[in-house]
Amino acid sequence: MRAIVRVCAVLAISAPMFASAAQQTGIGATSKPFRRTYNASQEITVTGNVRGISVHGKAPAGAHLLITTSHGLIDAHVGSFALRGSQPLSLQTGEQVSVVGVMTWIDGSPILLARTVSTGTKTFVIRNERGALLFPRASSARQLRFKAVNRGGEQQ
Amino acid sequence: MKTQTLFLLLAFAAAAGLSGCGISSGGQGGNAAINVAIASTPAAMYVNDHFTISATTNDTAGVTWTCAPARSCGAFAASQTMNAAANTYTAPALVPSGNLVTLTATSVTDSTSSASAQVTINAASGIQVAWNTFPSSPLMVTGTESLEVQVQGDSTNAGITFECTPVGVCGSFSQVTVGPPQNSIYAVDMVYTAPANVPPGMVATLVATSTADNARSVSTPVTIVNSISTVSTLSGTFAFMNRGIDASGYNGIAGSVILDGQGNVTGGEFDSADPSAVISASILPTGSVDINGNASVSGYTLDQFGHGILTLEFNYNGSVYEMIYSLTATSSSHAMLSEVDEMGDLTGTLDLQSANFSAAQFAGNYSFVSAGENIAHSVPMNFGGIFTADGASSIGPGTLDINAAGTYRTGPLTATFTPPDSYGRGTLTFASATPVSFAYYIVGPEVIRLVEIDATTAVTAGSAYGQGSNASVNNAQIAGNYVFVMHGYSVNGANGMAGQFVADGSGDFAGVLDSDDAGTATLAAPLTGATYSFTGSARGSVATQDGSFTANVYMTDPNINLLDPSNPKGGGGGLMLETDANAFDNGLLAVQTKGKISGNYAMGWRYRPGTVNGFSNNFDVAVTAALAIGPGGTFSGEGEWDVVLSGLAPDQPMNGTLTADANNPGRYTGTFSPSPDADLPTTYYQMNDSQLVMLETDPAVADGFLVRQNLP
Repeated sequence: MRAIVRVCAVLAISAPMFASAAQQTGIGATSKPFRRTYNASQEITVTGNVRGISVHGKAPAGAHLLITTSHGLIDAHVGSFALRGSQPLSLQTGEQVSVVGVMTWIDGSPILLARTVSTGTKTFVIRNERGALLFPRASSARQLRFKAVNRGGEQQ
Repeated sequence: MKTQTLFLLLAFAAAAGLSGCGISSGGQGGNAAINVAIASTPAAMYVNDHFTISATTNDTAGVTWTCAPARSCGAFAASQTMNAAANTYTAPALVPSGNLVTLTATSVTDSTSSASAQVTINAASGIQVAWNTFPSSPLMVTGTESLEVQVQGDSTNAGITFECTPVGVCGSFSQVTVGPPQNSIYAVDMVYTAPANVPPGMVATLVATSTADNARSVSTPVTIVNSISTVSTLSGTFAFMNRGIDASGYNGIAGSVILDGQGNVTGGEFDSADPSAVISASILPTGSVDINGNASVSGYTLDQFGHGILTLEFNYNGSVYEMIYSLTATSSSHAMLSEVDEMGDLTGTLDLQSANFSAAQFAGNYSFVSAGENIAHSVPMNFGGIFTADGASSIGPGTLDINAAGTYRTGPLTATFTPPDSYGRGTLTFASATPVSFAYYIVGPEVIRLVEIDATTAVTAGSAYGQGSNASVNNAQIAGNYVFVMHGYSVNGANGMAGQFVADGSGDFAGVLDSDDAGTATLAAPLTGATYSFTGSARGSVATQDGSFTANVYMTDPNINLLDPSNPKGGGGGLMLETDANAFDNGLLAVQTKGKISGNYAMGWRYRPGTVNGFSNNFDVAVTAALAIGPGGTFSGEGEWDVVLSGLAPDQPMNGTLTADANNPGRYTGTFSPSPDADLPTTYYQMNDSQLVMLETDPAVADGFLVRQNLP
């Protein structure tokens, strides 16, 4: 409950700022930062139940974790790599999760830029403390990226 | 006299097999010395049909053309023609009252002398015409294509009339065959032969028109090009370098391969690094026996457009592996590469190497950027800097800049290197607390390809270029027009940006840029209040007014063409490394010149993580394509695009458009269609007459280059 209240407060505070910024057209004008900063001091924690993971064309590109809370649906961006690699984000619909991230507005919609997603047993790291999305984690086993071939017939 | 004329015209019309309907002689009670006669008309036609009409007259001023009923009788292409000159009449869009139109030619000199013809106008025929097969585009001069048109609803089975433009230089049609009708549908086959020479604009437009209803037609453009390459175009020892992301994280591969000019690989070696494995291996020559006892299929193809496939096979640790690249040559010494096997989508370059490799070639001042991933933290990590190599074994003093996912630091750079082997390969090791080492491959004394192979600090790949006369740069030397392009990752995901600006020589620059930050596109945004700083070094910096974007720029030799280093036209510019904590991009800066965009181009294009049209894909899509761009700004060609794990899609038709931005000369808007169902909005910036950078500006993030082909 406290987390949701904080989400709403952050959105309320952020909305006028981003609405104002959207009216600017110049790049790098002091009123509109060209690069969006991930400010870890503004991180919040959202707790709710997994409604689903969506990969769609809406910005920001990549996977979005949709979380049902008592105050509505939260769209948490987990990026393009979270579902890939040897440590993919694996969640069940309805599962309770806590997401740490920074709330922001992108193309007019509130988005939680997720840094970590925690279940009761595991924490998935999505971003580092600067907001950089982690690349797909490689398998710990020494595994070549190349396709093994056997022209004699069998292909692995 | 008039009676004789009438008889003559009727006789002519009958002999011509025409209906003669409504044909009348001129001189309706006027000047007997002036005669007017309409040569021929069809008895009936469909709405919107057209035909060629003419009038003979002894009036040296010619005739004027009118029709009735007014405003519903159709139109003439020319309101006045000279004796026997052709005119085009187009029937009205709607059937006129009484189904008849009257076409009249009237003497200019004597308005009482005229001739008229009546034509029945019928409702739309219902005939439909469509291409069953489209021609390849581009098509070689004198090349032939068997094409088929489908006709539906033509009860007369009259067939198709084939024409093309520009008339006389657009090629020809032969072997026209009308197939038997079935369920009111029949096919018309023919063979189109491209012209012997490239037509103006490089495009021939083929038109198929229903003979029964010439308002029903279809057309298609075909780009006509000269043959520009064969497999022999690429011959010698080539260095390659590719990089990108796949399911194991960041990958970098650099190597050297010998191409024999006949499609065979005769040797080579490479280094590959990703967070899970770093390997070095020899490339199996074509036909050599691999450890499974089978003949190696290493080899390459190159078609008449400079486009082909490179397959490299190697033994490693008891197994045989392969990697497959699409390649498009820009010259006999350079090609663009993109991986098209099932394992990844790396993109990169292939460059003819200088011979007689020695440590002495690795000498002088260099600028470099190497981009990739921090292994321990799985986040973006990019190196950049400047250094001096002594031509023996030492590097330094230099400056090393690192942006590790927002943590930027800089420090001195010293290193050692081993002499190159027979493939131009050596190793380069930084004198640092944590091990940082690279395999390097010499393209030439001023172009070095790099791949990091320490397997502990990072996986990065990149290039070092000589600085030439740009070793000591001050603000005043950075003046004029530039294009830049950067790509990498922000806190939102993959991003890219491209733009152009004018630097004033005093530390300020202004221009325009387009960016796409994880699907949020910014178009033609003015870039104002930005600054740059160079203080007697090849290493300088740029910043936006608000400071949210900062980058280092490492200037390179003005005689080096960064996208095509063997191109003697040079161009110059620099490498770029973002240094703020908000995004982790790298890219390049190029001196901008403007010129005509036309000819054959190679494209290297990479789609990066995101989504597109409901298709979910979190990794790179890579394309190389050979394209022909006409002066009108349209281009078409063939290429491969590959989504990781979905394998090779060979020779896909690709096309696009370029429209000049009148407000920002040098910037173009348009599309790129890597497949027929994907018109991707794309912004292009012209670097010079032979190179453009391209940036997709929709929910997907992709960027690339177009480089003019200069093939023998």
